[in-house]
Amino acid sequence: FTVADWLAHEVPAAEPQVAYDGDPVTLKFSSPNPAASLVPEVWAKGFTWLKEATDGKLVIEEYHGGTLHAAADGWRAVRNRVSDYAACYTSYEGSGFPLHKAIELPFVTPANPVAATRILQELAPKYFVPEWESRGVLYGYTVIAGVSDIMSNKPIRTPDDLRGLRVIAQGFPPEAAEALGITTLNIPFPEIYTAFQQGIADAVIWVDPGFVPFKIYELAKFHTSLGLTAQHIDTCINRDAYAGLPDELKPVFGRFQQNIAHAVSQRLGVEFREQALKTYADNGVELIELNAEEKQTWRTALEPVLEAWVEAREAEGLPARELIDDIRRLEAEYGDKSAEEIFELTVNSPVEGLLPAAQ
Amino acid sequence: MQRIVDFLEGWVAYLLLPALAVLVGVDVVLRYILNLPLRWGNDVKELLLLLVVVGALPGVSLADQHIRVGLFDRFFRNRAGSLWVALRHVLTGIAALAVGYAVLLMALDMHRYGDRAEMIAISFWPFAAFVALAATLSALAEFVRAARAFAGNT
Amino acid sequence: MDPLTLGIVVMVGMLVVVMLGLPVGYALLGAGTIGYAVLSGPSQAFTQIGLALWDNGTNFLFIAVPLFILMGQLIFHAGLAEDIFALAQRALRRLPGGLGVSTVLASAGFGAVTGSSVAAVATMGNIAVPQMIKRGYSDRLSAATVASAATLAIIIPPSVPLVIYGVWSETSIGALFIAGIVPGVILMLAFIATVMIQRRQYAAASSQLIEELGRPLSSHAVGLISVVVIFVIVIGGIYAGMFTPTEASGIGVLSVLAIALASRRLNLAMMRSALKETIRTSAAIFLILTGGIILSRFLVQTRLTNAVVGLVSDLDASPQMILLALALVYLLLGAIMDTFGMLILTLPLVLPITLALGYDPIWTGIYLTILMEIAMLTPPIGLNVFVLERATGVPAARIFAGVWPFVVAALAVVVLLIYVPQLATWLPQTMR
Ligand code: NA
Ligand code: NA
Repeated sequence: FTVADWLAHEVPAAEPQVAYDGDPVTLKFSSPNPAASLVPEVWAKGFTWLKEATDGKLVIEEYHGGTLHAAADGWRAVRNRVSDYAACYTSYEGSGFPLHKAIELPFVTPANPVAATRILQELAPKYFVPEWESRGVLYGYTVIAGVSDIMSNKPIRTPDDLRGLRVIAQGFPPEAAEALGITTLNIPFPEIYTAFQQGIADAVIWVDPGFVPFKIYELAKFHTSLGLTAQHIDTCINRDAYAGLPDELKPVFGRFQQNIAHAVSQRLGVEFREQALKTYADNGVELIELNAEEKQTWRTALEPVLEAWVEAREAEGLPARELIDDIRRLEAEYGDKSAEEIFELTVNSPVEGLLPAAQ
Repeated sequence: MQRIVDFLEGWVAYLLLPALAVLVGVDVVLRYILNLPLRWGNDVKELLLLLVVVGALPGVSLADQHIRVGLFDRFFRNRAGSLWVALRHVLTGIAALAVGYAVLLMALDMHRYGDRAEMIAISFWPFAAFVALAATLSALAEFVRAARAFAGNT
Repeated sequence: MDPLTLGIVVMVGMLVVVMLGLPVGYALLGAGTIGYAVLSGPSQAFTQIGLALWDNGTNFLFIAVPLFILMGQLIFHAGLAEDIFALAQRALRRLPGGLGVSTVLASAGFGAVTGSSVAAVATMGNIAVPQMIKRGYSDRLSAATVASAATLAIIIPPSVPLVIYGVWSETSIGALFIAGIVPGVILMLAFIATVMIQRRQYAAASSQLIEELGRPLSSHAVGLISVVVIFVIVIGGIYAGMFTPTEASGIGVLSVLAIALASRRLNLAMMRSALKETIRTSAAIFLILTGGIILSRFLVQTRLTNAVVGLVSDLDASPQMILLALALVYLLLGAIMDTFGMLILTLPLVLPITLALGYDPIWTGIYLTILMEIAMLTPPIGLNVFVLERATGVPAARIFAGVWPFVVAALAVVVLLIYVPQLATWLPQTMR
């Protein structure tokens, strides 16, 4: 079965039997994404499913476009209950998520985004849930929206082609930039288009949900599929809001997190990816696919960065090596599975221990 | 009150604002000449911006330079009018006090959860505490003006 | 009380205290906080004050605001503006309202360097208004000309609101920038005409000309050369890809400083007052922006804007009439709201309407931008007017009285744009 079947209530295994017959409960969900954009559209469908599946007992009120709080304020907004449930990005945090940051390191996150999303939920109870809880909130989910590629005005095949260039790279690890010999520019989103147009930057490292809405393909001549670092959407849940849910609704809300995480990842990482590559080609961007040998040159160049990170975390007493090994082990297991296979796995055997169990 | 305001504004105007301008300019130069942008540049600029934009709040209050619509000010030249002026400053002071309290709560929250900048290990809470201090001084300045308006006409 | 009624009550209360003369920023903030507290509880309301203040105060894109203000202050205190305006008046002395016309042209030129109307009004306010008043223009016309002409900064590229619109509507930012050029020039010409026809407001100007002509031309050369150099550095740097508009503000400050010091036009006392004046102005503006955000974060939960826009979209009329009605809604919303708040709240509702009416999203961006410009000028909440009052000391009430002819001119351009949408869409299409 597919995400569409799930949303149409045609997946019996995913349909809850709700015994709760009290008053309906409403939660506020907030995100910085524009309301009429890619991710909120998937969220909206999911929240409709949730409302219907609970006979109108669990209603999510949506506030998109940063109307309740700024993107970087997700954690503060949720733990103080300005919102009950929100997109809270670990990328904006300078501390507190040492292990979760692993997915932003080069070539750690599997290139198959739906598999990567499943893998992250499986590893969350052991590694990430405690990081969320130490920030005063509950873990919702992490979606892998895609892995980053390069758009540029000259063809890029190996690290040598990139060396010495000025690159706009959102959330790119500085150590990786040093290893590649590039100058990264931290330019705010609304200025990226103009900065690239005016030649302040020679290349942009980003994901499709960035390249497409910000129209980088109008300017770039080449697109190199590289899968360097993960772009992710993280969510968090207010403790009291969750504790205040009727016990009958808690497991429904909990399992919904994993299904919606998959749905968002499939929409962005699989379906949108396909459209995006077509858009680039239609706009005269040359698509570069690397061969195995070229890919290896990137891995060789960046391996020391990952190794240094692992050693630094291990020195702090954090199980970084184990985390990387776990990701690689699960990637071997799930990496080649299709979106449908992963979704069936998620519905039939959901990950336990992400949210506190109902009493 | 004036001396406290002058002291605060002096630091912000003569040190932090020039520092912000220089940092923005130097970052560009470093990028071009040395191909070495400051990794922590944006974080520091943003925090400097915060200090620059709130540092003058007490001074603005004490000099009654807030942006207002003075459409009916001419009706407030009599005794009742100066009572209204006093009330206006009291109300503004209460709003400023609410801001101070709200940001103090945020400073405590930031301290408790260790919120800090993205690329450089600077804790946020002292900056929030500074904003709370500026707002509270602004409230005091409003109360000083209220007392003056009241005393001037009794 | 249901949320919608609460929204209306809070807006009315906010307007009353603003009219009574409470500081606008604290009025917006206070009204938003009280509404928020009633709707969601006091602890959420207090959290929201903190979040809005923090997020606004550390917003990277706002760095340009104090720095462009400082740039204007330095140009003003060093007396460089004096030279430029003396020259401009000589050059345009045969033209009725010549100095006013040159102010509009100078603002359009500065608008081609900055994407923020607040930065433009703060800079031009310090430079142009004292010069115009000194040379016999009424303070009303002087301030209104600058307040209005400064709004050209957000339609002439680069433009911060157009970038934000492009991202939210998934429209090409490059195309939007190009689309802004023709309407921007038309608007500029409309403003020039608006200045020229107000003869009574500058009747005193011609009599002072003789005295100006007495000084040799060369005495103004430093000002002319330095402003041209600064302009070339800032605008050339942006278009040559040396730096972003935000970075240009820092480079601009350093260049003005270097030139002013080299030409010995700036002493320590002047620098001190420029710096102090900058932080005071920035603080006052920052408070209004923050208050506006808190109020919009309350309003979004009342669904008030949804209700208002819904009234229009249900009209049974021609597309042009619906767009005119929508412009009226924006005129009303823009009267009482901060422009970015207005855009956040209405875009998701309005974009589907204009699309259904057959208008290109690029056109909608330009249409909304001109309406945002108008919102910055209309009482009681007109940001440009407030900033200008702060910068020049001309009372807001007098500026509001003076901006009406300019608002009418801008509305005429909106009507023109509705009936001739190609004005916005033609240039980007030919450049594709
Ligand atoms: Na502009
Ligand atoms: Na207005």
